[in-house]
Amino acid sequence: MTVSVQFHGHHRTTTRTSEIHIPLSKNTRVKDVITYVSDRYPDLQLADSKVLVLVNNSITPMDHALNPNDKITFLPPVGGG
Amino acid sequence: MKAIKNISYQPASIMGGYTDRILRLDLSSHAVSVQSLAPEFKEKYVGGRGYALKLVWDETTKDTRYDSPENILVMAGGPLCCEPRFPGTGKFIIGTISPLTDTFIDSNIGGHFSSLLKLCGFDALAITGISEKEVILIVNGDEGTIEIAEAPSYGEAVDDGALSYGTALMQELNGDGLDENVALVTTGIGAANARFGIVNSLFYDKRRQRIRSKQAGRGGTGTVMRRKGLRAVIVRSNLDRIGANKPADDRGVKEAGSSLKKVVSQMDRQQLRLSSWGTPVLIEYMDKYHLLPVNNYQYGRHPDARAIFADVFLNRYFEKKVPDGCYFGCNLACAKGAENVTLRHGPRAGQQVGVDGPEYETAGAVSCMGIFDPHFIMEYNWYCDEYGLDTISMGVTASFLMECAQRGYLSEEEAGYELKWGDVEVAHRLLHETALGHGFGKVCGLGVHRAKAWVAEHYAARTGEPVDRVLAELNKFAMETKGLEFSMYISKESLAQQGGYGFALKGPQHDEAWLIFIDQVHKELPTFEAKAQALKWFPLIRTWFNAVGLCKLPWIDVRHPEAAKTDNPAQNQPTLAYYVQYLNSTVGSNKTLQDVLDDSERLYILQKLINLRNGKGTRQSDRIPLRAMGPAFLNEYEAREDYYDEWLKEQLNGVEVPADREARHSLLVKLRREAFERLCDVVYQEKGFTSEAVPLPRTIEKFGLLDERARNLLTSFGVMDK
Repeated sequence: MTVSVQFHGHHRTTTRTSEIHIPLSKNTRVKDVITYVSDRYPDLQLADSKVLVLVNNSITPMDHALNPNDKITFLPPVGGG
Repeated sequence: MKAIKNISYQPASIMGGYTDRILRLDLSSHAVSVQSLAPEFKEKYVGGRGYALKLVWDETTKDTRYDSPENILVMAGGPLCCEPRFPGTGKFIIGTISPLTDTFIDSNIGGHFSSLLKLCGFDALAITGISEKEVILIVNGDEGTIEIAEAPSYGEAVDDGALSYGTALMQELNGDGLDENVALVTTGIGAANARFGIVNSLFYDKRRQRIRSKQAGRGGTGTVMRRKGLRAVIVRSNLDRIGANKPADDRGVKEAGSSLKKVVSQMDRQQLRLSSWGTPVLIEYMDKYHLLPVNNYQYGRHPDARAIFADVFLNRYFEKKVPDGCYFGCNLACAKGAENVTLRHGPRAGQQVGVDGPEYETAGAVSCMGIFDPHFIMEYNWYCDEYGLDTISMGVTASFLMECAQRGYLSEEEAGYELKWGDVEVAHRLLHETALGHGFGKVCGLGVHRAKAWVAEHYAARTGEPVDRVLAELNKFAMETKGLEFSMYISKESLAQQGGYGFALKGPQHDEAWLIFIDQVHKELPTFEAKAQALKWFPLIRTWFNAVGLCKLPWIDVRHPEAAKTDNPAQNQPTLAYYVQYLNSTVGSNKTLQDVLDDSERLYILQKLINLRNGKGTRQSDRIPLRAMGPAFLNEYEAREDYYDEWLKEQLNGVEVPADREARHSLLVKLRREAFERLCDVVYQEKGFTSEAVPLPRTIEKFGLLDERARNLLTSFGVMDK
């Protein structure tokens, strides 16, 4: 069982991939995925003031427990110029 | 250059961001005058859009059209433009009666023009009349001269191009040495032939060693300028711009600017990266969330969209080592550009050009025609700028006509060729024909609203169907409201953005409210009331930026690190505090954010009055096409069938969803229409309007605008007694 993490914009070019899959263990939470991704890609800045974290296209708290096949996305604030 | 009139003047000094002077030009008589403003004028109308609104309200009537001699074309910065120590201070507004909407339009534009105009001693330039011969206006603040001259000719190819003509003019006036203390506005041949002509703002960029351009794109301001017989306005001043506003509190200006620049510097590279990627960065996110207006807004994404993501432009076209920006001191510097792009099509094929752009909107307009070719986007960008055409209205009108062909409303014989989606050759042909006023381009140059009527009449004549019935079908996918083409976002799945487009006073341009993400993605506006509050708050704060001469992007697209801790992160209030500090420090006021919103609401109400007077102010004028509310046709429903089926299930809350797909589509359309109408009711109440969208007398009186004209107008709508 895995969850996927999707990268867009400069996250995609920094990681050189648009998606990775992470093994899911019992009680894996959003914050665990953030830690995993940050360790794997130290150049990414994923603090909550910099990006919004979405699970299956909904903004989700950091302690939310993930389910198999969940899709995690990082979204910068977009206000529409 | 043949002078028609040359006068000397003493440039007024700037104090607290204002000169309190408007330069008036009557092109019918070639009269030049200086209008002095009483202090109450700036207190009530602020600057920029506010000045344009006041002049249009006072000097035009309900019968004034874009080409009427009394129509007034206003170019105005604001008290906060010009200062390089604060980011984004090169903005100004061009306001007038629009050839597309027949009511007030304004479009904001970057560059050095308004700052130099202010240094020449003028808060605004107001132009009336129509000149028999095409002329240019030269304002030289250094020499204290204002000259009207016959527009010089440099040969047809140069004369037809807004960029080419401006460059030739600047070179002639400056000798061979270009510099940053001269700026100009120009129009191209497209503005003479289409209703969506733009005004180009040209300035010299010494880093790129060429003239660059920004555009007042929306609503046909360039068409008005061209119709008046004004080819260009040149302003010159060698005065230093740092501190030129003579702020009341220089230290406060410096502090506010430093604070904002620090946030931009820290946060942009971790958020959208506008400083290196420019606004094309949005393409990827719009594609992901089904917001890219593919094939006239039928579909929100496309498998080929990857070919036009921002990193493609970054790696293939943008000069990465050059810090960009449309004005001094802006460290967001999002005005990306490319050098030595070889044109492959059109009358300039084979020529290498510098391209200023693309912006997201231009790439979106090309996706609207079903094209995902980055080189075509660069060419389309350059040709539209050179011709003086709005990339948005051009793309939306072309794609509307393509869909008319797709659905059988427009024959190949009528167009002269097959209007196919995704065909670069076809798109080029239609673009050049539109700019030059040739062939079917004459229909495209009308814009969607008038082209729709043309198609309906011809189809009705061909088939015998009643025109009204044909129009009703075309209205489902003709992406215009109030006569203006939609900007480049699909609003089907965001009711708040449907309101953002429908209620926008100028027509469906997102600069009043862009609520898609906070509504559709963040889900921060779950109720009608929350949507209504956002649909009041955002247009007011956004209007303020257009009144004071500032760019919105450092506020709206770079989130302050403290914003996440506030009640409403999308409002980005920690950053707005810097703007309020900058305002107070410049003009010497002691305003709060609420005071700023109140100032803005006065302007909003004034614009509403003009719309009412000109027949574009009631509930009927706020209605949007079906495609802006949901899937207009079954093919759109089928493209996201699982999503729409799920949406219906949630809405019906246990009631059985129809088994038949067409029945599900019809039900969804019914629910979407009902939701929009309910939103209208709630928003009008929030704004202090009647259910027909007419402001109540007390709403107008609150802002000191309930004079005899306003009373008579309200009486004509039957609301003075309410």
